[in-house]
Amino acid sequence: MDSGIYASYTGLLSRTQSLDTAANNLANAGTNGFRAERDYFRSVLTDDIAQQAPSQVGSAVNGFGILGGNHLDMGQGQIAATGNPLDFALNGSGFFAVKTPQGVRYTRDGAFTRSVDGVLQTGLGEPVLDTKLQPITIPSGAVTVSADGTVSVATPDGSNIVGQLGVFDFANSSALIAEGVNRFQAPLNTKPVTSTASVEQGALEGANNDAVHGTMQLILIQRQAEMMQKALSTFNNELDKTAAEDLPRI
Amino acid sequence: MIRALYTAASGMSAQQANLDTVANNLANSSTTGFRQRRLQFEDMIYQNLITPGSAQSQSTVSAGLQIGLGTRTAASEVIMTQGDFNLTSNPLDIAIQGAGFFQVQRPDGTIAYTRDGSFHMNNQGTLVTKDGDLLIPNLTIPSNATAVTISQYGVVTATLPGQTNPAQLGTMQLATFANPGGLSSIGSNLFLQTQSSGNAITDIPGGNTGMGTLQQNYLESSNVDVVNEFVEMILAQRAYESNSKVVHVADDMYSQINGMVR
Repeated sequence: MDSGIYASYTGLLSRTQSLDTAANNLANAGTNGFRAERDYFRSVLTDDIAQQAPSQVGSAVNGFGILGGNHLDMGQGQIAATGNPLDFALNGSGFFAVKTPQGVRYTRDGAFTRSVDGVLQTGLGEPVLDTKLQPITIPSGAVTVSADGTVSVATPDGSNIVGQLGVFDFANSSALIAEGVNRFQAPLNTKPVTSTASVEQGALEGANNDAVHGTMQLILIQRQAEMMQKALSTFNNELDKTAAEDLPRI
Repeated sequence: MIRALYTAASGMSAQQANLDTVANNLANSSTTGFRQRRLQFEDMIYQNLITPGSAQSQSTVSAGLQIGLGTRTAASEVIMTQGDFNLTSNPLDIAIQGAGFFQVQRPDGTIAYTRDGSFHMNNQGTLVTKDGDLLIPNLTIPSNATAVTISQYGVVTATLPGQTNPAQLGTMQLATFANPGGLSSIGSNLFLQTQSSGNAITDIPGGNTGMGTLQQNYLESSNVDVVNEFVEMILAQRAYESNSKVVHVADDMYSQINGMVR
């Protein structure tokens, strides 16, 4: 068999995987702070032709396009006002830190609540951390948060500063690992740095996957898959079938 | 590709739930003391085909291959912003300006919390909600009272015939919660406290606990922002549509692959 059939097969397979990512991006259009995944394809050489003197033909017939991986698109999502004083949106590159049983995780979903004890927490009840990675306790009263994340509470005795929301950034934030429930895990050996993002109170950031890009991605995948399928059936029906049926008759 | 079908289905059902919430908010846009809810979504787990940072032959991969499996509804939070005040000129209509809930006793003895301050008198002259639940602490207005005044700080006084000084009948109390967003709605404009809302903190209106003050002759309308709900509705519809497109494309690719073998 020719290697072309495998090349078009891997191409088709990678497009189906790519469709899964596109579907996930669109399904999460309403998820706060969701970051879209962007695929990239890479080629693999099936034998070590490349190690020896590479020939153009050898590379062309043996270079299969596979889905190499994906990275997070860290573009800004739309910020929509909600009027809820414990909703926060980040404008710029950065993440809120939350304490989970598995360790510190990062999120851009700033829909926080106050726990029974007054601890600022996520919807899942995980404490939101300050700049020193400690939970923030907010006494009852009107809460005001400034752009740098400083939390102050108006009490009958005046306004008190009770903490500062920790906003962290990473040198290569697109390599963060998405783990669901709007959280990201930092890869090992990556140290968070202080972020320059500003905190906006009373607003939430939506997903950063716009409908135009999502639809374009869908069309692209569909057409490319069609192309691969055509190539695959050409190999299957025209070449191999002809070879199998007609060659014996010669 | 089967993944894409399920992923798109999760997106469609999430948007359906979103529309249900919007519909309920809009349906209650003129319910006194209604608090709107907002649905929140979260992404589901990821399938790690290549874990980011895993070792490759010479270095570590800079970005892995993670395929997300869709979205799900996480919570529907009660939004506690202030609603508009409507002047009703009914002396037993009370609006709360700021934080706090009225406490009412349901027929089974449990305490429920409401922002709906349209009170009435029962046959003993005691203040009740329109469903007949008693206001806590109980306030009884004498049948011969010519006027009832409720101050900003909850002091209830009545003018009685033949007396120059109004008689003090009692003081109203309000309740707040550490996390009012965690209250559970039970219909009839009532909320119940839950583990996540915390126990009620009761105080007089305008008290030190950050309690709101009262406004007699006014009712607080719902805090639903109709324009915002319409925008939310359009967004839900379009998101639903784009997810259905994904189903279409996945199905199309599937049928092409099936049609490959002739």
